[in-house]
Amino acid sequence: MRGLIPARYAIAKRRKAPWLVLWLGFGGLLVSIVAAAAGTLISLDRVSKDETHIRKAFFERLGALDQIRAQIYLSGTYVRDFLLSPEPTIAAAETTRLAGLERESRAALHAYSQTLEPQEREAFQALQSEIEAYWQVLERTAAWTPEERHRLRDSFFYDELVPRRNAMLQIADRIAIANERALNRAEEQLTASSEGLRRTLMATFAITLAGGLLLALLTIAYTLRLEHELERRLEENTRARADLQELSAKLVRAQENERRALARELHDEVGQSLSAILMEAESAACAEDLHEVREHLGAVRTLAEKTVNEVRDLALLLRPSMLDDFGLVPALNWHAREMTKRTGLNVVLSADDAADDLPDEHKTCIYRLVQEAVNNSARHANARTVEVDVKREDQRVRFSVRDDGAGFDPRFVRGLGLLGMEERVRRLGGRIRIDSQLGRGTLIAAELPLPELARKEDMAQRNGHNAHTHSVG
Amino acid sequence: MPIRILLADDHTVVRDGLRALLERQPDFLVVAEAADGRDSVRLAEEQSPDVVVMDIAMPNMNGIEATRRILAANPATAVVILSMHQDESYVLRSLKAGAKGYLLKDSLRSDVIEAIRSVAQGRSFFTRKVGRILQEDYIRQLERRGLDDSYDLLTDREREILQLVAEGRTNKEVANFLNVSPTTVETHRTHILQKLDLHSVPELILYAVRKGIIS
Repeated sequence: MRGLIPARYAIAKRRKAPWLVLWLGFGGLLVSIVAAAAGTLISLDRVSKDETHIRKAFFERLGALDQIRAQIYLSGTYVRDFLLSPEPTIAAAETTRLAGLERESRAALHAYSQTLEPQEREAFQALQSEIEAYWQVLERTAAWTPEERHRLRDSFFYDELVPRRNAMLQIADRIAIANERALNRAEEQLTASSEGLRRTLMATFAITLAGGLLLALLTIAYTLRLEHELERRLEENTRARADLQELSAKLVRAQENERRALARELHDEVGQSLSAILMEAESAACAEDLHEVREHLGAVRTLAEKTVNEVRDLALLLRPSMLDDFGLVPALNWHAREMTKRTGLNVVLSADDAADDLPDEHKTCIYRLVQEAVNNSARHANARTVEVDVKREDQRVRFSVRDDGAGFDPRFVRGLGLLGMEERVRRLGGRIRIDSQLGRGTLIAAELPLPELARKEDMAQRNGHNAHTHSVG
Repeated sequence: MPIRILLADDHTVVRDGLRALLERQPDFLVVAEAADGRDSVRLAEEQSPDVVVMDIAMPNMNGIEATRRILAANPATAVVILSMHQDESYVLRSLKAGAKGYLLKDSLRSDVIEAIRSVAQGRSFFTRKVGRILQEDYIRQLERRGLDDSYDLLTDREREILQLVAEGRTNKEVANFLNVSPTTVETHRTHILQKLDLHSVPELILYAVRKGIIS
């Protein structure tokens, strides 16, 4: 049991998925490349900024430390000058300079404390308290009289000031070393982070490359599949064209056969009868007595009668006039009766009257299909009974021909008749189903959609018959 | 009073032949000739003929539709179909359109004359060949379906009435002929239709033709 109208709608739907994958793949790849490039640029920028910043901070701190050192040295000089100078005015000037120095050194300390690294905090605090103590010691000397200065200056200078100054300088050196270490560490960090950046870049490139390769593989695979499908289609097309050529050749042959049969019928039957009539008429014209004339005329009459019948049968065979004069159902009825008369096949027609008023094309299509199917049932299937059903519905007309004959396998049997049926139905936008099995009879069922316009025209014409017909008469 | 006749056929040869045949009858008068269905309707209205001899296959309007229109305008006119179609669908539709007689183009000329006289008097006329063809078809159908001939179901009186009705007589004429009341005739007629599974007088006439009861 096979339907014969193939459907090829699934392909268009299936095509969308690979395209989506490709679009997403290429888009993703592009986005990831752009993102990687932007990320790298930003990271590079940050690293170089960090480096500048670290160096700047290091030199700033180094400068501050040098300044503090210089101040400490300078303070020693000032104190020495102050202690050595007998002039009170000069001493006072030195005191003022010392006070300024003290302020400056405090400011420098404060500034340094702002950029303090954690590991130098301890040393710095030591330095700070040393310097604080140092200044306090120095302040004490400010109050000294000239004699005290003279008396105590050597011991103060060597026992107090120099050791303190050395201690301070040592601390400052420690800080400087710590500072340098911090710089090294920061630089190491920078190196590490640029190493990280390099790794990230490598990874990104690796992933992008892998993705690109994968995508390329996918694309190639897809292209190959498309090419394959194209080839298949081409092959199918070629085959279909060959089928079509064969079919049209068959059709041309069938048409030629039909014409040959028609020509033979006209020549052998009609032509012969007319020749005979001619001869009888001539004989009648030459006849001696009335009796002979009557005899010849009687023969003419018989021959003419026969010819009229032959011509009528021929015309009806080509196209039954009932189809045009009364509609589909009377034509089908006539055909059923003719089949019964000629072949003994019992044709049972059931059709509602509404099936009479159909558009011309539909009437012809249904009539020809039923004619072909019933002829097949009689000629090939050896059926005893054929049931013909025609039902008109609102938007379409359904019809079927079912026989109790030998049946066939629709997979292998594709005669011109069946192809012709499919073609007729297809042209009117309808569907046809051919169900048959060996030994199980055949069912041919079809439906035709009715065009909107035709339905309306039909409604308008339903009351009166089509008056614009003319057939051979 | 001669019988006034209108000829409707699209073939001049046929019309000429018919005219020659009919005008040899002293009581026949061919008043007009129409070459298509539409023309025949117009001329029938103008001339009010007693009988129209009508072909079916004609341009512009077929003879059956023309018959319907002529009879709708003037029911007193009698129409005889003269066609090459011998299929029952043509006969039945002609009867339904109101035609009283049916002739084939190869019918005997005497049949044509007899048919015109019959329908002019209100009787049906069917050429023998139509009756024979329809009868053969009918018998074949009965055999094919294994049905009994329902004619056997009819009583003698019903058969008598069937023939008279099929010949084209009205209930009143039948009643007078058989000396019964028109109501009785009507009752019989209903029974006949029921027994034969028929639904109208045209179908009844067709049946009678098939059975060879009338010709």
